[in-house]
Amino acid sequence: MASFPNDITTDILSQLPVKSVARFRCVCKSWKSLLTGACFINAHFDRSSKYRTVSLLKYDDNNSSRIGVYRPHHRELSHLNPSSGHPSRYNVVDSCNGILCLSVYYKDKPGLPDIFLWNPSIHECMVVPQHHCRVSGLIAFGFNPLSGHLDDFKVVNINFNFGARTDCHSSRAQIYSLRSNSWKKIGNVFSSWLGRNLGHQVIFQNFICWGTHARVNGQIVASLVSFDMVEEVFREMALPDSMPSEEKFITLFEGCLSLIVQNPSSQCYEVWTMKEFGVTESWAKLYTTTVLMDGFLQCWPLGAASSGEVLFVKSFYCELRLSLTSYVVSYDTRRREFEEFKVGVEAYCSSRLVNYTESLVSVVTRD
Amino acid sequence: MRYLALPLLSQNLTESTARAQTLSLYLQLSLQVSLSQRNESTMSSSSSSLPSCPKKVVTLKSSEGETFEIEEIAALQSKTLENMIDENCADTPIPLPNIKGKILAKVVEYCNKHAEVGVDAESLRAWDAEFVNVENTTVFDYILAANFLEIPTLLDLTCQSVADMIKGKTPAEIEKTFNIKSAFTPEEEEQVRRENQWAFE
Repeated sequence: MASFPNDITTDILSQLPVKSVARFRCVCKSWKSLLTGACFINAHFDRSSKYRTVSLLKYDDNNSSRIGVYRPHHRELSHLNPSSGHPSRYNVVDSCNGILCLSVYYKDKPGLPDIFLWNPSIHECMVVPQHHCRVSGLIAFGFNPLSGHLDDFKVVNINFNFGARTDCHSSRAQIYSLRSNSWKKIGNVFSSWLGRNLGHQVIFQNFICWGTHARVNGQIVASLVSFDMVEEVFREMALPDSMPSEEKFITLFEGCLSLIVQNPSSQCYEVWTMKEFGVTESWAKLYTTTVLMDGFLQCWPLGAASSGEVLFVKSFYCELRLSLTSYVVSYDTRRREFEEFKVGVEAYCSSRLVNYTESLVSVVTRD
Repeated sequence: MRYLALPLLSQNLTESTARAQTLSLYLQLSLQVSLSQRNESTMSSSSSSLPSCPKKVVTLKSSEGETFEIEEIAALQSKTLENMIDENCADTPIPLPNIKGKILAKVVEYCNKHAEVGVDAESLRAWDAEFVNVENTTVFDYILAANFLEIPTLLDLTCQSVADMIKGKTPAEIEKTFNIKSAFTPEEEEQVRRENQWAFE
């Protein structure tokens, strides 16, 4: 009977979905050893990122959080099942190497959220140990791609102190590493007036990025803030003058760092992409959408799905029910029209769109 | 004419050893050929003096001794054969002791098909699908042949077809398909099943 060399067995098995791989760990000792090894997990993730990346939409409904897989040209989501030890209501910080970072804030413990690392593909969930400093709402999640370990995850927590006068702002950051299971301080950050409006993060190569803007002396100043996961430093990048200076929403569009920007004169959203990371001049407007920002229907962008559509949350005030009703809708930038997709959600602020690739990376077993 | 002492090729060769032995055998043979050519005689009894024909052909010899011809252009799909052609070792039959005649014939057919010009992608895909629509044991033999001859397209095609075939199987079915013995103790088996319980639902 055929007994293949290990690299062929790896070649074949790394093409399988995570569920099959987990089942086949029960076949025999040598398969268990092969399929739990870091080498196989890396090979499997490599293939997964090429062929099995999807977009996950997190939203709240009836006081609990749900996550669904968004697929283009489908009207509905297929939902992920929660794992044991999983909170019922949470925020999604981001997704990386098959792991989702969740944060849960409790009314009775303000400033001390629980942070979870969850692999929904293999149903493993762990709680990041508490740190002693108060949190002012910014938690960042990423991993160090140069360390050679897919599970070299980092959680960054930034504290802002907003003084009464503008020159009293300061900030402190600390960073948690999963591999060492400990927190450490990483000192001062950047001019913290930027920290007021950081919004959602996006992971691009070895950087965590945020688009931000603030009114300084009546002028809107916008920039891109990045945290380098390798050097553990924050940097600020200017945005080109040609870009409208209104509110910006960061996303990844077709693999490039992009911003969905409000154009005040046309009242429509535009998609701008930075073709070369770090080069301000390489920002280019890719698409002008027909999506209106304001008016009867409030419309806010969640981001771009991995298949290229841009998802928005449309809200309108329902006089009958005296409440704001919100839906997530999907916009095709090439055909310049909305798709049939529509999902009712609680609010824009509790909705989140992230790219996700299934993986076998474990946050629980340490080697 | 000198006779070469042919090394005994045992049944249980690993791929790399077989390849190395074949290559070394090859180099020795080709040295003999170039020496003999100077004396205007050839080693092999089956081929005549080399004609100057436009289409170069490579001869492959299966484990049972059967020979198969393949045009050089089709043979280039195999990195192993390409290296031999580059080093001028491909002028006499290349022995492939690890590959049975039945399998070698099909591998030659695959290379010929993929070297054809003017075939559209859609019909090539359909042809490929038919090619691997055979018994598991045959696909496994194709994999070993493609690995030995380093034919990346055939290796990808066959590995993917095996992956598709086993995707939904249970561990017991996998053991049967690949003739694997479990070797877990009952306690170990219980534990690994428990750890991966969610994958069985």
